[in-house]
Amino acid sequence: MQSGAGMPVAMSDECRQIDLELDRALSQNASARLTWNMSEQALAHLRKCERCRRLNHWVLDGAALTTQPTEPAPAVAEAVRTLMKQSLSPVTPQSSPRVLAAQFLLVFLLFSAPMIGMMGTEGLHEMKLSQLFGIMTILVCGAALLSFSLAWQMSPGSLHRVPPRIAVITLATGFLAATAVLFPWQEPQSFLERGWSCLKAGLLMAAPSSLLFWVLVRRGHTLASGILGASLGALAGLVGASVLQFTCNRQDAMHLLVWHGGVVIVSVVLGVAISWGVNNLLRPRP
Amino acid sequence: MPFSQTHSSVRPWEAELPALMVRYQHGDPEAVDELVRKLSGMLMQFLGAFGLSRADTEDLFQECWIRIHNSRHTYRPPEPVLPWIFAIARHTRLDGYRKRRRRENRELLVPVLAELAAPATEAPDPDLTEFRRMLESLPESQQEVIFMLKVTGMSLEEVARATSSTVGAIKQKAHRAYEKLRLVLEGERK
Repeated sequence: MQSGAGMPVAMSDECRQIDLELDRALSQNASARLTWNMSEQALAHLRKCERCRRLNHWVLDGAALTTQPTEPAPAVAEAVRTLMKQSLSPVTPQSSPRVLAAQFLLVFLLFSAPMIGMMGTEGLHEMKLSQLFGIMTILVCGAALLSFSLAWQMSPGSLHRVPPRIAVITLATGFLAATAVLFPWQEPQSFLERGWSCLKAGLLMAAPSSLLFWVLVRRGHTLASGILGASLGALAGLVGASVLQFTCNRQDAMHLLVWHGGVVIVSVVLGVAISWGVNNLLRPRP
Repeated sequence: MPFSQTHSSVRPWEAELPALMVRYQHGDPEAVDELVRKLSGMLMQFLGAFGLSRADTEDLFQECWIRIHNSRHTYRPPEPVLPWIFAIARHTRLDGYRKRRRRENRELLVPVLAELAAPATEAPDPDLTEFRRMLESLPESQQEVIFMLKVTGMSLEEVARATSSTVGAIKQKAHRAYEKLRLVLEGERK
């Protein structure tokens, strides 16, 4: 540990023990912290060590400062109450994140299954069993992860088991790794022509599904719009990429990574751009 | 060095919040009065922390209650209320900050002396002043976590819920904040 002047500061074992105990106190709620009882030995150390005394005061007594809340002006509080009562109609609590996630997954399946049915299953016949199993695992896990992520994002105060950014990054990394490992790297033939038509088809499938996902998301209260746009775009892009995986007969790594993966990437970028545009350009300025 | 500790249960007023929220969702006007009375002080403290003027704080406060009202259906009883409230309040504060930044970029800034002279809250109490001074020595994300842990008394999991984060990330932020605080205290002692 360095002092402010950059000089090393010697800490006694007792100081370190106090630090450890204060770390534990930090994980308690305020009321528990206020009733935290110290041993005589610890209190004796606090009496002679100013550093520990101040740190202890900050950790354990800080919660007592809540006894001094800043009240709003009475007129402001009254205005808030009046406004709230004017539109006080009964509401039904939103479904749990699990139910919301199931709804997203259902839309995902209801959209991709008929599309695959209509466009044929040429890609399915081109894949080996290991490729089919590997890519299916990535697509299904990715869809489930993004569905839960969107459900958590539309429920304020819910516990995010996986942060939204990590969900998108995990999907991208998983798709990249699985494709690179499972599919053969072949000499590209009519790479641009065939690829461009796949990208267009994928994006055309992603667009209507993103509208449906957006309708679902609007029912909740969304907080961070940028990352929400990215998650929504990724799930919609995954619809396109999933359909292409089963319908496209070019099952080589380069084609899959650039053009099928490109559907997800372009959808994420569009999702972020649209949410930024809605937030910054369409909403009235103060 | 053995320490003993006594765990007390959740504060009584906090335990009443889920039932109040249910009444609010059913359209009970008395529940509105109770909620505003119980939570306004804490919300004002949170929104006005880190040097915001009182006028700006009260604007954010109104905006925050409107958002809470419009999204009251997203609260699911009997989940803890404070993380739900603070998740909305946190984003109201962030949006307010972005709006101010945009406004400042468009306008020629003329310092308003009265506003500069009057911070969000008067702080004659030396303990409170030291608490604020120490908070200000931390990065904003750590300030926020420490504020929620210490001032609102939320648990690590509740803060994780309020900040759309994970318990591990909150533990790490709190630990880093304490490391920084220890350095500050060591520096002052020297």
